[in-house]
Amino acid sequence: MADRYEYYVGQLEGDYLETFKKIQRYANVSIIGKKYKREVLSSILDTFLNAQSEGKDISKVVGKDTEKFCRQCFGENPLREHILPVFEYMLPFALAWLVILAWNVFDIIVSRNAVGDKIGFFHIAVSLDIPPFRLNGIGISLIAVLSYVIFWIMNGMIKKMLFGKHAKNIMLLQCMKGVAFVLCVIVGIVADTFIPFCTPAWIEFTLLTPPVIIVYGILKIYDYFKNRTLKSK
Amino acid sequence: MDDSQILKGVLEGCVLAVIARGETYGYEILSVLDGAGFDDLMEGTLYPVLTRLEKKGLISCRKAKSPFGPMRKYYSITEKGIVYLKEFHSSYAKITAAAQKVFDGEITKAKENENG
Repeated sequence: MADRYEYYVGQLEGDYLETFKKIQRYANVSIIGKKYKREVLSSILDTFLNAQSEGKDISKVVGKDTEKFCRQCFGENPLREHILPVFEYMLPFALAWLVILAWNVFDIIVSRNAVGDKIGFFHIAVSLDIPPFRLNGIGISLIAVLSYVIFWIMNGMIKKMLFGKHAKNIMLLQCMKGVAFVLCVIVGIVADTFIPFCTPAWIEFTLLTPPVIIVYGILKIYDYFKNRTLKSK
Repeated sequence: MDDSQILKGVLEGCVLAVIARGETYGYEILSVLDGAGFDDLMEGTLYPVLTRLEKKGLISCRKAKSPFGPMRKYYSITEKGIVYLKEFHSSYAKITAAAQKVFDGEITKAKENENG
C-alpha cells in the first residue's frame, strides 16, 4: 500500500511534486491522527494528479498561500486533529510501562518460586533498575509529557520555516528534536533516581498506562462509531 | 473588497447543490464552482465545508480508488440534505430579493438627491 502511494507521488511533476512534498512535511510535523493524515494526503494527491493532467497551474489548486492551504486542509476535526493524536503519542510510553510491569511480575514469580514467599500484586515495585539508576511510572510520565510539549513547540517552528526563507534549517531542527528527546529521557531517569517521590505503588500503577490506554480506547471506539453513523446516513 | 464573508454564507448551499446533481468528488465540485465564477475557491476552502456538511448529516461519503490511483472520497446528498437544500434555496431567494430592493432603493434615493 505504501509502495503504491509512493508510486502515485512519483507521478507528480515540477511545482506539483515540490508543493506536495511540502504539504507532506507539514502533515508529518503536525500532531494529527495517522489515519486522518493519510486520508487528507490521499485526497490532496488525487486532486493534484487530476489538476496536473488538465495542465492547470498549481496556484489554481492551492492558492498563493500554501501554509494557509495546509491549515485549512488539516483542520475542522478537533477529535482527530488534537485529542486523539495526544493519546496516540502517549501510547508507546504507556506500553513501555506495561513491558516494565510484565518484567517485574515475571521477576517476582520466578523469585517467589525460588523462595516461596507470597507477595501482593500492589507491592510489586514497577521500575526498571540499572544501578545506580532507575526508571518507573513517574519518570516515564515525565518523559512523555515533557517531550510532547517540546515537540509541539518545535513542530510549530518547523511549520513556519517550511514556507519561509529558512527552509534549509529544517534538517537541523529535526536533529535537535532527537537531541531534545534524549535530554527528556535523561531528565526522567535523573528525577526517578534522585528525587524521593515516595509514592505508593498503587499510584505508579494508575499513573499513565491505565488512563492512557482506557481513554485512547474510548476515543477510538467513539471515532469509529461516529464515522460509521455518518456514512450510513 | 473582501468577498469571504459573503462567500461563507452561500458556499455550503452551493456545494450541496452541486452534490445534489449526482455523486461527485472534491476536484469535480471545485471545477463546477470554478466554471460558475467562484474562481478563487481552493481545495483547502472546500474541505472544511465538506466536513461540516458530513457532520450535519447532509451528505454521505464513500471511499474508492480514483482513476489516478489514490483513494478518493465520493459524496452523495442525503434525504436530510435535500430538505436542507430546499430550505436554503427559499431563504436565499428571500434574502437576495430583499437585498436587491434595498440596493435599488438606495440608488433611487441617491439619484433623487442629485436631481433635487
